[in-house]
Amino acid sequence: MVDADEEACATPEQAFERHFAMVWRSLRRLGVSANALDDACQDVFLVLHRRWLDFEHQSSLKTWIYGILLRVASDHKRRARRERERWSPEVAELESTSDSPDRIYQQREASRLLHIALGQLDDKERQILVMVDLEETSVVDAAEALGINLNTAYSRLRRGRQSFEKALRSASLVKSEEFMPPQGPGPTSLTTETNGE
Amino acid sequence: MVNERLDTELSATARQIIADARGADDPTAEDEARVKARWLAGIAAGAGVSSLTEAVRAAAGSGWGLKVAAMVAAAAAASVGVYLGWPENKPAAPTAVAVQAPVAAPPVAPPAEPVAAVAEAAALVPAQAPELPSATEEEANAAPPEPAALAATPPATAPALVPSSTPPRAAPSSVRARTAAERSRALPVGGEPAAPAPALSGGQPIGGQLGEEIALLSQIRGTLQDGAPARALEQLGEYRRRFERPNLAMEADALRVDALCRAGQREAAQAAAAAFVNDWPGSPLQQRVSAACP
Repeated sequence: MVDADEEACATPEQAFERHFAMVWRSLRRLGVSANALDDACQDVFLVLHRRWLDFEHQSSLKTWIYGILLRVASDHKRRARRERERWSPEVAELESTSDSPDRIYQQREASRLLHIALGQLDDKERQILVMVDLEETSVVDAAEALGINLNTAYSRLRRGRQSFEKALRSASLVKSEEFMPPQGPGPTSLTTETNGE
Repeated sequence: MVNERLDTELSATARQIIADARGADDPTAEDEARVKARWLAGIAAGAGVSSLTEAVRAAAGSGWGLKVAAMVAAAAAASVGVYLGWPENKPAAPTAVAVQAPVAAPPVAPPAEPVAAVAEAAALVPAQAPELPSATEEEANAAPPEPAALAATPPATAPALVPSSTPPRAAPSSVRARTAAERSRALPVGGEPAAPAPALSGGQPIGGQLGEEIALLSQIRGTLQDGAPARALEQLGEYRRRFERPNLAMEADALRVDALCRAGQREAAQAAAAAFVNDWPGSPLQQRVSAACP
């Protein structure tokens, strides 16, 4: 499957510009810790650069890059485990100050739940769920990036979704007891929470 | 989404959470500029080519010339905040930049300068030994080699970065000029260190900090190449003090190993090299650092 984006990405640099956000976000959601994110991104694009001429357009550029980033994410997490770093569901600092406090709170809370729930999945479930449900990749492309057949991809995704729902439910329970402010949060409570974390 | 054939769809609640979290993990423009600068520095370092200009020249014969040249220009822009050819939705203001530059500098940097500037960033760690790209070991094994020209063995000392135009040591001033100018770009965040040079004072968004870091590290590399490792170590201390939250700490740590070794503090250098391996697992500079003080 050839994506339209190849035509716009004649060089590794254009590929960087087009796909950097996806790579950054996905690595984060696949469990690369915030402080290793720069290095992991750099690794993905170094591999991309090194293999650029090998890209044969059999798959879409996005799928090809995803294949690289899945391996890089695994490598980084393996290294992190070796160093006894633990999965920490840190919530990214939000930059979009133009959004309303309610929206910021909502996004922040959703992101927190998302990361906690993703952290409960096993690696295989998480990989396919992030690709299909978060990055909106087709299951066909996800299967290709993962190097698995389509049936395996579907059953893995089904299991992943079940685990994800379950993890979300338990994460939400914690939320309602500990994090939910009594009423809609104003800027003040948001600031307090930001500082507290 | 093409999720036909699935008997388990996500619940509405789960989908809502995913939708609400959209954007929460996205990088900022600053993240992108920083990673891009480091990526291009890594390309130069990892390919065992000690200057990007050399890479461009070497690659010209293999059809890589244009690609690499384009990347170099863009990286220079990214690393010093000029954002040549940056997409228009980025918060860059290349024209306003020149107006606010407090130091005499060409309003629009000629192509050679960005190249020199990024080559500075790329060559922050003096080349000591040729090395293999090291980003991902598995990938390295799986991947066919680079175009041969890119794997050329680097000379032991830094070559002229841009032949007949800008020598390496001339770059910091232009970097600094643009660094100061870069402040016109409003980027949020950050405890900012005090800036000693008048040209560097003023409101400092984090984007300006990256430029300053590059300038200082370039200076340190120059100091090292001038054979003054003790002075370089002082400057590295200054770097640490000035930048509470450095973007290029890894590059600074690598320079420190080299400086210690050249200063004759071999044990300290080896300890620092060991610490580097711990602190920066998987760093593209790792092989270079390990080889810095054999």
